[in-house]
Amino acid sequence: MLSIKNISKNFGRVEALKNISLDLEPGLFGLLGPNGAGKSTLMRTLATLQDPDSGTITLGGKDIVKDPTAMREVLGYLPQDFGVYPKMSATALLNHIAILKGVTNKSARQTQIRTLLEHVNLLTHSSANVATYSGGMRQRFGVAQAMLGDPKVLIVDEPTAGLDPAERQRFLDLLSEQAETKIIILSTHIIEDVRDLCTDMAVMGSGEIVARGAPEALVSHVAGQVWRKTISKDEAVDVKQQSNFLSSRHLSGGVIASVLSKNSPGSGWEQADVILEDAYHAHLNGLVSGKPELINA
Amino acid sequence: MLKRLIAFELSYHAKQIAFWVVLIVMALYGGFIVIVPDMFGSGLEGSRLKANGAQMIAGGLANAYLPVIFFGGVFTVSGILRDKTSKMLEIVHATPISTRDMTLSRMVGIFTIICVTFFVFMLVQFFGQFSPTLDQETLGPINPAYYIQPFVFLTVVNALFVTAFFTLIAGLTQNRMLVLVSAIGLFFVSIMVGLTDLLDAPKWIQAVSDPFGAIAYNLDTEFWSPDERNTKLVPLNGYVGLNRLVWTTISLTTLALVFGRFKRGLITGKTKQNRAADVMATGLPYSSVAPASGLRTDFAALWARIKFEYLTTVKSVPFLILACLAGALFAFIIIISVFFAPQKLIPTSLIMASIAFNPITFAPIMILIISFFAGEITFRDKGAKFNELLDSTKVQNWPLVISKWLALMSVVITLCVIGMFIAMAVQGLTDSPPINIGLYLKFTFLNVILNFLFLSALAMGVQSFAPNRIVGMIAAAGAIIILTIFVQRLSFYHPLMGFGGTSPGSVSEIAPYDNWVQFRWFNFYWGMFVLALAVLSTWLWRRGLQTNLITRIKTMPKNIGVRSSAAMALAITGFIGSGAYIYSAYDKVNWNNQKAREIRQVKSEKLFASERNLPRPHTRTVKIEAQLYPAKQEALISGKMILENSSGQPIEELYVQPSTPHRKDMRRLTVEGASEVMEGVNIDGDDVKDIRKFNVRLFRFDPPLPDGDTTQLDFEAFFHAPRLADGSAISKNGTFVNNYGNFRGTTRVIPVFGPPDTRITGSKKRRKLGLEELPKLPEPTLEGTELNLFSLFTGPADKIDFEGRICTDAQQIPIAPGNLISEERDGDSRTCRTYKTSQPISNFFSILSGRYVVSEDSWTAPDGKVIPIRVYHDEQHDYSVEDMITATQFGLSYYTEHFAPYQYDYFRIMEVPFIGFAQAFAGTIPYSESGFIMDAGDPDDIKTLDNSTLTTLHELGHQWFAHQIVPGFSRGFNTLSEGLTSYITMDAYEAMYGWDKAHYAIENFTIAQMQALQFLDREKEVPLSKARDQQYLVYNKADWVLWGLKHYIGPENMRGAMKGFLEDYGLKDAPYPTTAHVTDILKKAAGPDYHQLITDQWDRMVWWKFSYDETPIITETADGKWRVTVTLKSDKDIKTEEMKTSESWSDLDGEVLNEPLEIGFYPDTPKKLWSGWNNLEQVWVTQTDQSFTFVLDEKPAYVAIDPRRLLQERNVDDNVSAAEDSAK
Repeated sequence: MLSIKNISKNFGRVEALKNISLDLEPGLFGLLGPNGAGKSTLMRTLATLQDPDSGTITLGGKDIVKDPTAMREVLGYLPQDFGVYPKMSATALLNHIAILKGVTNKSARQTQIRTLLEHVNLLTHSSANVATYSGGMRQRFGVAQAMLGDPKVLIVDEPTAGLDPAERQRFLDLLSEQAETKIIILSTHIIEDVRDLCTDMAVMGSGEIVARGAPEALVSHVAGQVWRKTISKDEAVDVKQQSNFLSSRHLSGGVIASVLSKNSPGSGWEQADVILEDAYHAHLNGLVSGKPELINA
Repeated sequence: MLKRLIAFELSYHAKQIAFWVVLIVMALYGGFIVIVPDMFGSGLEGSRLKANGAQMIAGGLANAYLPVIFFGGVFTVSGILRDKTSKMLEIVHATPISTRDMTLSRMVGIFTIICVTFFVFMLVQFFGQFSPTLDQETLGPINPAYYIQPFVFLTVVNALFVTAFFTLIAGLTQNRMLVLVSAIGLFFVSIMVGLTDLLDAPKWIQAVSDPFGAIAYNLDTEFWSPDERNTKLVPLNGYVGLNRLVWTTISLTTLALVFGRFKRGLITGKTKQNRAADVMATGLPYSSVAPASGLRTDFAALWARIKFEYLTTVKSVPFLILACLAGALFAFIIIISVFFAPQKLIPTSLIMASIAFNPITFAPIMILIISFFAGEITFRDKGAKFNELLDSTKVQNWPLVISKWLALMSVVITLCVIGMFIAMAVQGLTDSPPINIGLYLKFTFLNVILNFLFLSALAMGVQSFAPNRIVGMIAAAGAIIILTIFVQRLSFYHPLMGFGGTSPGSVSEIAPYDNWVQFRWFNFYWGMFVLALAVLSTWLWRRGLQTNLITRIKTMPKNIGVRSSAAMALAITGFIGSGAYIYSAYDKVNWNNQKAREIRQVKSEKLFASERNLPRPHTRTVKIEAQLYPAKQEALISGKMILENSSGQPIEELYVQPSTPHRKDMRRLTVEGASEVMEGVNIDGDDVKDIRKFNVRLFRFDPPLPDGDTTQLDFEAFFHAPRLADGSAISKNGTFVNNYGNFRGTTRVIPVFGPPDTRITGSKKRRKLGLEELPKLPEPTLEGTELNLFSLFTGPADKIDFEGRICTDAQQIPIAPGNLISEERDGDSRTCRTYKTSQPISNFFSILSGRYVVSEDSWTAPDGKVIPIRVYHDEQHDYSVEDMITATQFGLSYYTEHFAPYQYDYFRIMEVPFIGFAQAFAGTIPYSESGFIMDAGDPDDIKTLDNSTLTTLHELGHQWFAHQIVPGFSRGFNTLSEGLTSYITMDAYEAMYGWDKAHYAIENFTIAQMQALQFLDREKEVPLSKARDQQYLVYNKADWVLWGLKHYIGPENMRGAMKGFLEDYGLKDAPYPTTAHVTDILKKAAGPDYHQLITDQWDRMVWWKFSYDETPIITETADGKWRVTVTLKSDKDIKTEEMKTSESWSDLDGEVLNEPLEIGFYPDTPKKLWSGWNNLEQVWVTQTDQSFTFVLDEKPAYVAIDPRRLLQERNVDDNVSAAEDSAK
């Protein structure tokens, strides 16, 4: 089990993580949150790239802050943004990383690399320099390298950014297959990724976990309370000021606005089927509380 | 807009840490140069060149082009390429700012901060001169113009050039590494253009080819007098002006080019085509592979990383560029040395390796390359943004760190091996001796690479602490320079502080390395230091994203594991333990640092002040028994010396300096009739215990040794094998020891008399230590002296009888002065030879032993006596032997015919490794190994120098001037031996090879050396007749003035004078002659017309200046001849010992101009050496402006003043003029 207890992290005056606590078991855990919420900071902290200022993180009982190797031994990590060494092919670079990950058996290594390349659909580009890959190809390469060896913890920071729909699906399938035996932490701001895959998730905002639970549970917190209406742009300005405002999107010259309300907010508002996005906004904007302790309470 | 952009640039740079690092470094450097000149200065300031004089300031700025290059590169990276590194390129380049404004503002920013940096450097120097701690003797008048003028014309233009150059590179490539690489490239180029003078290129080409103006500055000032150097600003109508004009134009053109060529937006490289999709999918599911753990995995990672780091580096564009540039530079230097230098080389493996790895050019290049790649390799992962991926893997820190260290070391090895192969290739291309691979490997790996491996480790260690690669590169280069150069100049420097690898000794083709003990201990000691540094770097490794040093130090404890702690404990224990052992070894031999040494010298000077004047006996007979064991590098040397009291008074106390400083090793030292005093006081009241601290023993005669009586000194000393802090006097092959003191690394093995004289001689140092000016030796007079030159080294003696039985390993030949009396062999183990003089020799002898073959010939004296000539040399080293024998035969004939008969029954030359000179003992000449690898060159090519002939003639010449004429103990004694010997050498050389070749040697070696070396002398100028050991006087000036006088008064006349001198003083005891006798015989031979000239040349410091006041005019006479009118402007700068600065004769009372001067008339343009005249006329110059008219048979086209270089004129570039027809 990966257990995060009360970790905080400040960068100067900025509180990037505020007293975060999470316990994670094997399975796909989604971390949703807007830009700057602290998702990447949390991921990097879990990936032992930086230490929290306070709090503990244990993996199978071992404190990974004091002993980062305990995490690195079992980690597959795909950072949000990464570069590669110039003039190295995908095969060569994967081979290099695999050795660094301790995959010293040559034939096993080669087989795994080949399989992975196939799974991320890079087999035909395996001899090309990774540095010359397009953004999507590079992201797929990133996925492959994270899977090298036998990672028990997979931390993937916005892995589907830049992937086309087919590749995204291929990747999500690959992750799903692994979810039974691995703790997979998937950070994203693409709500569908979480909705479709994760059995557990958290919403982060301003360095805090504002909601935690299965996607359905989070949705259930706002069931029957989401109302939608197509309004003009002028009206939208007023609606956005309302305290129960959830989200809005432009459609065919108008704006579809969503608000949270136990009762009908007025004429023209229709009760809507709740989707995860509504629950996300409701929790993020503090309209409902989904913090683990509150839920338990 | 532009203004705002410029303001932004300046404020941006002002916020950069690199800028402040550079500024502080330059400010400190400027301050250190002035305040601690002994450590950081040029080492030239003194009584002659003033530390704040115009040349010292301007020369310092001119030669500071290296920081201009590198700081220019660094500032360009932050000024131009920051868009890319900060990922702002797409945003900034998409703004509507014009490319011109963007580029121009950035260039202004870079240019300004370079100028600011150097302005601060200069400002600190300016204010530094007011420091009360400075030696006032080294300071001249204060003049801000000395600083401002060179700053404007040298630094500002240089800043403009590097700005333009680097902006062009940055603009074209947008590649940070290529900018830094081009900085190193520019430095290589500046080294190469510095070598253009070796190619004999015209001066204007040399001047223009240097982008930084340093060569031009040197050319403009090369003939300046000390006063001019101290007070004169560089003229802008000379080479500097030309150079600055050219490079300002080039810079501005480059800037214009930058506007046109600046690549705006993204530069994308070619994308490699992917391979065709011929790979079939297998459809296999993904399955995990359990990773391995443990040390084996770590080593697998280490190996993978080493391969990766090394191959990535050597395949990188910067490496390829730098390797090509370094290779080109190696090849350039080697080719120039082999094919263009006047002294033709025989490219043996030793010579080639020495040239390839010449530390003056090779070391700076390697330091730059090491500093550069240390940064690149350390920050490679971060630079590629691969660090997050890498750091999240399970790989331990140590394989990551150690692989980087080893990769840099492998790069260094690669470069050195490339250098080695280039040297081998050039050797292979020449008609050369076979390549000695073993020697190349020894030299390359033990004498070169080893040290650079340590420097690589240091650079990597420094990078561990650096905030970024650029600061790390500067800090690494700085650390290397400080720890390898400056630290040695500290007054408390101990060998333990000299960072880096130690070789087992110098490399020789005839002798193996001679000190493995030192090699083992010092390399272990620094190896342990490097290990500790490596472990610390591992602990402090930048892992993850929070990599500032303080965070890393805070989190370091969690990186400390059992194994690394053990390694650190081992390293620290090894470092401290071996350091303590080394320290104790040095302590055991009473090693002193400079400060302690000086304190000791001062004490010794005071303690023995009166003792130095006590009467001492004269050595009359020396008998030696030397058992040498070259294989073990040990010896046992015993002997007896008969001493006679001829001092005119009884001798009560006698000081004897033992042959070895190790008390236990001096197994016997007794003086008949005297006993060693161990305690109490001497006759002067000094405590004997204090006296004994100075490695001298006091013997007291009881009763005192009466005048005229003799006594016997017995001694036996053991000479040990190499020790850690103390090398051995004995070499495995080619041992050379003597009885006169530690001279250029040779060792004295015989006791000498008198208290030790270790007085500090440098007057700057004496002033600093509050000592009075050192008393001068007696003035040269016609009375002569009681003591001779050798008494300075070996105690009083006239001629002595010498007998030596020298035994050595059977494979070697033992040699000493004297006739070979007997030879004994003890089977295959020992061989002994006894030598005995048949005629007395000076108290100056040596003992040699080597594995030699003997090349023999002979010379028959006019009286029929046959003198065997034997050259003892290594079997392979017979290159110069024939030339040596020929020169010996020629010299013996020539000197005997013109001066006096040769006095010994034999003549021997012996090859000696590890020394850089030849030295004349009685009929025996130890001669450096390099002297045996010389090519005489084409005898008909005047532009080659036959150095082995010259040196042989010189050492042979000493048999007359040093061994027949023994100089008296007075000022100028060295002029008497070295000066007169140099003269007769050149006389014989001219007789052997003709006038042109001798003239070339005089012009290009004697005169050029004198002009170059005179400014290295920091002491007050002295006239030739009073010179002590200044090479530019006792060899060069003496050679030059005697060459001149010979041509004025005729060679026969000169030779007659020398012959008379030898007749009067040769082979005689006291009184010994002085330089007063030389000027006397010269004046007598030359006649009164030349008395003033001889006084000017010998007893004063005089330089002549001649130029054309008007163009020479030719008129045809009625009888078909040609009348030529030459109007000259003449001057003579005079300085005496009493004068502070030189003055023109016209400004001095009582001076008249009456100078002999030759004028040559040429049908064509005179060649550089100005031979080939149709007429050579001599005139007497008596006025500043004076016309001379000549009537010649043939019409001259050109006129040259003093074409044979008979007078001391600094600049003769204006001595040739075309003649004009009067009709025109």
